[in-house]
Amino acid sequence: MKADLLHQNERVRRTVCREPEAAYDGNSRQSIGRREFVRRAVQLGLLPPAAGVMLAGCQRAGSECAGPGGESDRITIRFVGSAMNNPFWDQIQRGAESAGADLSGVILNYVAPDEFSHANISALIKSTVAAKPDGVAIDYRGRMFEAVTQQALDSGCAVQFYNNYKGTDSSDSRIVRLAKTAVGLDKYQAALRSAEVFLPTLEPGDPIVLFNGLPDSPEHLEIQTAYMKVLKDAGWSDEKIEVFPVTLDPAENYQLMKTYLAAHPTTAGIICWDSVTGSAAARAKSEAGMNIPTMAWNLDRTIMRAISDGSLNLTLTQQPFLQGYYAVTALYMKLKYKFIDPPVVDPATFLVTRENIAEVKELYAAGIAG
Amino acid sequence: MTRIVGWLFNHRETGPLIGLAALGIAFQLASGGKFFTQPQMSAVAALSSSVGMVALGVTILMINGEFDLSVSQTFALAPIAMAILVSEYEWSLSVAFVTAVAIVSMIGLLNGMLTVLAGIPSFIATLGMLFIVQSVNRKLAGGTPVELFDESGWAATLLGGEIQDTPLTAPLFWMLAAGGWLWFVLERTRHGNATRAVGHEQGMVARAMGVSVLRTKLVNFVICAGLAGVAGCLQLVNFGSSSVNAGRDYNLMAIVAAVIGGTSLFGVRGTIIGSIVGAILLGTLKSGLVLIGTKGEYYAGLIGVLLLAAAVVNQWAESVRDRGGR
Repeated sequence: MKADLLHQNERVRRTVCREPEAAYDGNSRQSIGRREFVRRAVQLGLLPPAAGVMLAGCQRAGSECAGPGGESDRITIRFVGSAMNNPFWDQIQRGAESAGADLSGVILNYVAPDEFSHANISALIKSTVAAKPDGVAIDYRGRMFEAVTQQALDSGCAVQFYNNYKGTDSSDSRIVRLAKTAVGLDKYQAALRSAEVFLPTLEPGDPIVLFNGLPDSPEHLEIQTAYMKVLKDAGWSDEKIEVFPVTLDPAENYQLMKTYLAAHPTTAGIICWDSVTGSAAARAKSEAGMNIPTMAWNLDRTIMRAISDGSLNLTLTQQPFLQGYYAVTALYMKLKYKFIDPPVVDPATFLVTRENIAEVKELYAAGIAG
Repeated sequence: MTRIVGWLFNHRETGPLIGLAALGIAFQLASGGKFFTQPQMSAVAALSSSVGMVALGVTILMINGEFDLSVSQTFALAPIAMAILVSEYEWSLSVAFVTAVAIVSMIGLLNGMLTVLAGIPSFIATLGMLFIVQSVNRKLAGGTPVELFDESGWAATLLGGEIQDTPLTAPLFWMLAAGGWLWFVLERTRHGNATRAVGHEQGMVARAMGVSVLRTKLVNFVICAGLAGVAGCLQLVNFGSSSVNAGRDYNLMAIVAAVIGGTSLFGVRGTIIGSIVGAILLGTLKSGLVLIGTKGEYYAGLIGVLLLAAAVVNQWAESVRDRGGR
């Protein structure tokens, strides 16, 4: 059972969606000429970035900039990330860029906002779509991205969703279809799966703390909700579960968590769902001399060391490298081979414990686990 | 008695010191005697020393009439550079430390030149620099932490050591030492006089007195960036790891510490000791609220409320002092 859970990463779901009325029309992709490009950029007030894009295009694509309306075999793919300065998003980027390098003729450009916010991501998608790439990978997170996704689809740009399966509630059947054929991880389910392994290490009803490093992120709240549900279903009362917001600064988190544990010495378990809070929690509880079960999400060197020395029981990797890689591959299939729908890929949850940390370290060193 | 009260009112540090003492007593009572204990004081020291060191540089610059918003990124850049030099190029810790601080000091110099020579308001110049340095940090470290867990020897002890079972850590010691040095510079040297003069009336009075506005500001920008770099490196050696997210809000927190400590946002007025007290007050707030069991959803809000209360008390003390002065 445990072994099964530990290797769920090998599970790749493949489904073929058969909804002809919503099929992606690969032939609708348009190439626009340089003059048209500049004209549109001026209209949109995007001349400086457009100049940069054209320059980059000339440097990289050569003949693509040969003249107005010039066709080429190059496929330009824009990958819009959701945040920077984060091991998870670094791995997404690495996966996307690796796919871009591996797939013949692909020119891949990865962009992400400085700070995570729906507004920032949406603005970046907008400017990306305005640059008229052949395809764009979007971390679709709800209705707020609907208009910009429609804009991309209307302009003939191929779209691929990744990182989750949001969008099935859209009134636009094209978006529903994209949501159903995303490359992504169902974070709610991932939290439940990790809880299945983690909960047996706890005594039901003992005080538990959930350290949320990004309390304003809906995605983090969704994961928080999943853990709250699974704890309550297992017999924990509201009073015995505390959610405490922390920051993304590891040193500050460590001090705050140490203080928290001093103030709550009966705490019997710690749940975190990113590496910054997870590594700080592992150190704080060790420093406080508390041998209590602790779990995290994602991977970095500090997390792997904590798993090895036993201060962290478990971490969950969302296989971000695979997500980035498969999302670009899916766009490539749509653009190069006119696939109506590429297969759905769920990299699933890969749970890392002391038993498999040696293998994971090798993957991490190779830059493909995070 | 009246003379003592008068003397106290004449010092800007008095208000924040009283606030700090009141806060400490309140947390001690509310936590059932757990606040004034070694682990708790250790947490306060750790939470205060980094932002305190950054606040010292920011204070001298604010007295000078300028801001440096890039300190949060120079704080992150120095440890990243140091860790890379040590782990990838096998430099000694001491040489890597000096080099990293020198690099970020150059950023301070650049900030100063943009402000003084190019005439760009420091608010804009250093904000631009913040983004540039942020990009450099990402290029160097990406999202993964840099680490220095296995360092030992005199340099590691000097920069990041701690005396067991006490809250005394090297970063705290260095913050106090830097505070002492800057206090001396500000209160007892020509450069200190020049700093206050330059902060007055946009440097017009200073120019009339023959003070070099250019040199004074450049030196203070370098001090500010250099101290942010030192703070980042000390935290790396003491804590063992750092990342691009380290100190991400220190540019604002340092200003908050300085203002709570009695430094004016409009230049000239300000004290080094006040800024140290302001930083300790911030650390006390963050740590004390967790210790007394503040619910997570109220934590940030209560920090805001107490900071505003501290600012109001300061403002009141300032107005009383001004009336006394007249």
